Amino acid sequence: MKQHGGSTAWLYAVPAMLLFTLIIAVPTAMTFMFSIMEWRRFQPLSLGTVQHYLRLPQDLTLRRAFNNNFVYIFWTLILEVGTGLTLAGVAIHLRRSTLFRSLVFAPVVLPSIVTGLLWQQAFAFESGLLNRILLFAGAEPLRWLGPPLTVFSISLVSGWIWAGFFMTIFYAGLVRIPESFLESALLDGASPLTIFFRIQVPLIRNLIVLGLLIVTTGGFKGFDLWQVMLRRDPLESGVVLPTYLVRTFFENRNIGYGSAISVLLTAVVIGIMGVVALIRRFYVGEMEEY
Amino acid sequence: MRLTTVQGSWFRRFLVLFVLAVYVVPILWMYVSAMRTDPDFLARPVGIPASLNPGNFVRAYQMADMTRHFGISIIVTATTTAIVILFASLAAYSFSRLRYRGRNVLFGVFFLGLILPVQSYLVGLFVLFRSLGLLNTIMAMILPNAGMGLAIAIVIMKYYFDALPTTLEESAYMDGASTFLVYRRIVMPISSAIVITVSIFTTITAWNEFLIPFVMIQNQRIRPLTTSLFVFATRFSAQYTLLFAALSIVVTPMFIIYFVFQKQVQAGITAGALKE
Repeated sequence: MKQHGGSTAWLYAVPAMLLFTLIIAVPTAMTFMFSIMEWRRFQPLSLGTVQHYLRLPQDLTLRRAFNNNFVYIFWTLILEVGTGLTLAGVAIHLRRSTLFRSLVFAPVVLPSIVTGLLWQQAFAFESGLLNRILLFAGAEPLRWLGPPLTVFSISLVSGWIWAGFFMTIFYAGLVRIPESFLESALLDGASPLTIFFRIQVPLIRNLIVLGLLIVTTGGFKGFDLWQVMLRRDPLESGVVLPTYLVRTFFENRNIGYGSAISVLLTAVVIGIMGVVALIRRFYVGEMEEY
Repeated sequence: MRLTTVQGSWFRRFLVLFVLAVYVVPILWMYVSAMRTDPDFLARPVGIPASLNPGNFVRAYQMADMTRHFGISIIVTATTTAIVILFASLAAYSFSRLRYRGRNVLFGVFFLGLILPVQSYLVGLFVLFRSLGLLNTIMAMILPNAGMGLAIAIVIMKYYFDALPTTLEESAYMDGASTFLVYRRIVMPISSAIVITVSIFTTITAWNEFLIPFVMIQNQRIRPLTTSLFVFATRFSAQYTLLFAALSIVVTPMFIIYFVFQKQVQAGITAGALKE
């Protein structure tokens, strides 16, 4: 097509560009600059210090936060992506799976604050749904939202929310696989499980790598569930980078150090994306996508 | 495709029932508990209630000042979505159809914006809005929500426009139409599908947004539903059934909307993630 434009064509991008500059570009630059400044509350004192960055490796709470983030990512890979793949594998065998899929997807649309508050009640020691079920089954009740279970319990809620999301993505990929790909395996008498793991899953590995990307980066971004469910966590057994960041800059008014944590978090998220991009390039290759 | 030759085993049937229970039981527990009294709930948190009494819903609705916070959330969400659709479609149209210098660089900048987590700019955003005197205003929610929703909306719309045939536009240009007329009369009307997808995604994200109002809004009067519910839960944490009632009130309209528009909602949310 012939390209149209003229001298005013760039004006169409101006409103979006302005808003993007105000909300994302300038504040990101500010955050990076703040991290090398000395502060007294909201008063910048001087520029050009690395003290905040020197503090990072010595901060034990930060180390715990990092550790919790990694544990959370480990569990959510299983509980979100793993469960999502299992559910998708089940759903393709159901004659009518629409209702099933809709129900499992439903928590994705709810505000995480609502889901978090509901599960906080379900995790309660005395009156919670889960401990009542454990007692009914003759088991000991658990302190779900305290160490050592804290991070696992939050991951469980994440799984409850997001398994349906990954199921939907994987399901869409699985039903796009042409029937002819599976026929010969069926004729050879391969079991559904063999077909699933040997043929269907490899064909949607692009989507699985995407899930890997969403869960690993998302593991460092999630804030709501931790903030909402762990209001009573005096030992900070469930501190993660996003909540620690908000506590540092917002509650303790430590702008400089909070900004340094932001930069660290940014580097981690972009680093993960780089690694996943490499995996995609060398491992997934140029296969057809489904 | 479906493996029609494979019949359902009892294991699969058990798995489906188990999964349904995992999703239905907590929701059912919330609704039932919402209609009980606290002593009855504490005596037997899970089980057949002594009586069901919808009075908690009225009490929770009034005590949580829901009319106000629903209203704030509706205003913030509707404005956010309107801004995102307007700004993003204009920009995406120019990236897809018009030729000017710096066009690809600009699009690249938005693409880059997709990968930045909110934590990269949260501190700067707070300090900036503080110095602009915008903290505790409705703008401190609308502008960040819209700014954060732009990048994904532009990328999705640009690729959609790229795939549209241009014959209609060519004949309009033959008749002397301007680029804006082509945008308004041709490109936008034939793109209603993607406008709906992006609207759904933006609306749900803005409606559920928690971190931005948590940081920006300390004034109870203009808190949206999410953070006002958080404050409510903190204040009435000992009144279990009241909290369940408040949660039920928030969840119910969303469930109804979701189950009516489930196809579009699922497509909208997964489209938002797939372009990452």
